[in-house]
Amino acid sequence: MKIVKKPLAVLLAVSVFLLVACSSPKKNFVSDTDTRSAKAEQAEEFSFTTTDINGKKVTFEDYSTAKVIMFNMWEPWCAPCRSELPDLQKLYKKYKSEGLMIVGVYSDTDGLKDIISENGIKYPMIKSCAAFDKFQTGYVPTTFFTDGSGKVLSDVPYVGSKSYEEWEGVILSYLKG
Amino acid sequence: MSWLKNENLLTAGLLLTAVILIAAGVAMKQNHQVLAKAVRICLECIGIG
Amino acid sequence: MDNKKRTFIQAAAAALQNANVKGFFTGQIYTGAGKNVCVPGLNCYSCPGALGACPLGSLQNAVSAWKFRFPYYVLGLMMFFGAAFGRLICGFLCPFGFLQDLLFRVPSPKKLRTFRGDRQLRYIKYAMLLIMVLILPFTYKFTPFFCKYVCPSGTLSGIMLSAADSRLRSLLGGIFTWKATVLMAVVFTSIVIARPFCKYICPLGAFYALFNKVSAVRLHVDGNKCVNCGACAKVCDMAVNPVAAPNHPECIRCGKCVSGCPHGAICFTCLTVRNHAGTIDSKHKA
Repeated sequence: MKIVKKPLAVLLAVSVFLLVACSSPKKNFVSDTDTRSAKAEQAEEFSFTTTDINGKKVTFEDYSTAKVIMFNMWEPWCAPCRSELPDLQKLYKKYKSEGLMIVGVYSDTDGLKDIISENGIKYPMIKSCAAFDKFQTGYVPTTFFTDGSGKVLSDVPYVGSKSYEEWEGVILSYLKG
Repeated sequence: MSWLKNENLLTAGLLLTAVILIAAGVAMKQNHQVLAKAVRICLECIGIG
Repeated sequence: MDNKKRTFIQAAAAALQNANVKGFFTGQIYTGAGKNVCVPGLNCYSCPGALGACPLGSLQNAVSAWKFRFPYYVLGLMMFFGAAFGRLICGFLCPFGFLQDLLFRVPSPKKLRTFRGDRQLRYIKYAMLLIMVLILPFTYKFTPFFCKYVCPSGTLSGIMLSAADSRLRSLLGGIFTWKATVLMAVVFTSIVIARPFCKYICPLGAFYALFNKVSAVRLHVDGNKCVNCGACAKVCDMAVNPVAAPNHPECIRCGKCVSGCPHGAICFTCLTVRNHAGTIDSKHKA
């Protein structure tokens, strides 16, 4: 092969490499979703079937007695996700009696149980499934709210962690609204 | 092969080691870990938030 | 290899690695299977266009995992790129390197090839690799230190994301201000000094530099043709003398010395045999 064509060969190899990788999208990971059109998609009632941290089967109906359900999609390897866990636990304890349910949604299990026990988390933790794909923004943490019937309350998912006061304001607006 | 001389042996050895490492990583599903952390960005990890 | 061809390859490589064009308008990153694979250059996976994963970010994520597992896959990929190409990746395939090359073309009263302390500052990137990419993420779990506190490629991505998504704008804080300062420093320095990030900061360049002497693709100086005129050293943006130190760790294999040599004494080679006199046995063309 002529040496001058090496960089072109490199570029070709890279192209083939990436195109091969792109040709078989994994269905169990998030799909390309425009969350600005989520409002239209969210007209359907939200439901899911998955397992919790102990492997027990859970469905949306397990939380349907709550007035407002906060789904907090997080990952153990995400520092801001972990930093808001104690605040979410406090809010859960404070507003549980008023109809708030907080559900943590994870994908990765590396260090998961240690982090949950270290932070004294008592609200349920469930494994993400395809039903949550439409709320994924590409960022963690991402949070959305529904009511007990599965109707999505948040216009667009909340991106990033918030302080205790910020989440309290958001939760109260849904509990009172 | 005539090109397989001293310094090229080291290069070939490194390339072979790299391929073995990649294969071992794929067998352990480490490529899935790469994907998982590249499709869900922790904002603080890129300095936002 | 003339500069026009190289610029074309650099532009094509940058475009190919960031071909998720829709993402620039929606602010949504690509989430497909392409991100199973690390690209060879510095390209943050939070860039809305990025189709692949960043090798540095992936390495830090692997090293800072709760339960440490040796990063066979990421390290294997990086080793493969290094052993195959060395810093040719920096010279041809890295989008951030391309950006610096474009900035260096901006006219300025002064262009610095080297200065006092230049050589010593080049070692900072090795410290970056060791400390910010390996030791600190390993010690403080779940924190990719280089990504979080330094990487200007990530800062560029953050700017693009927050331009398209207002929710992110409200999250920009002190760390981002610091990183934006780093980015601005690189941008303005790139106008005066060629490739300052590659020379002084880039841990990925530092990693590939370790392979420059042993990579499959290398530069070769034909001792029979070289007359020691110094033309190659004069055109080198990295202040390397290709004759005195061929395949120096600082050489990004841009090829300027190849096209700049009036005697055709320098060429790229790939796994070819060198005889006792230093000439190449198999056919080659620069």
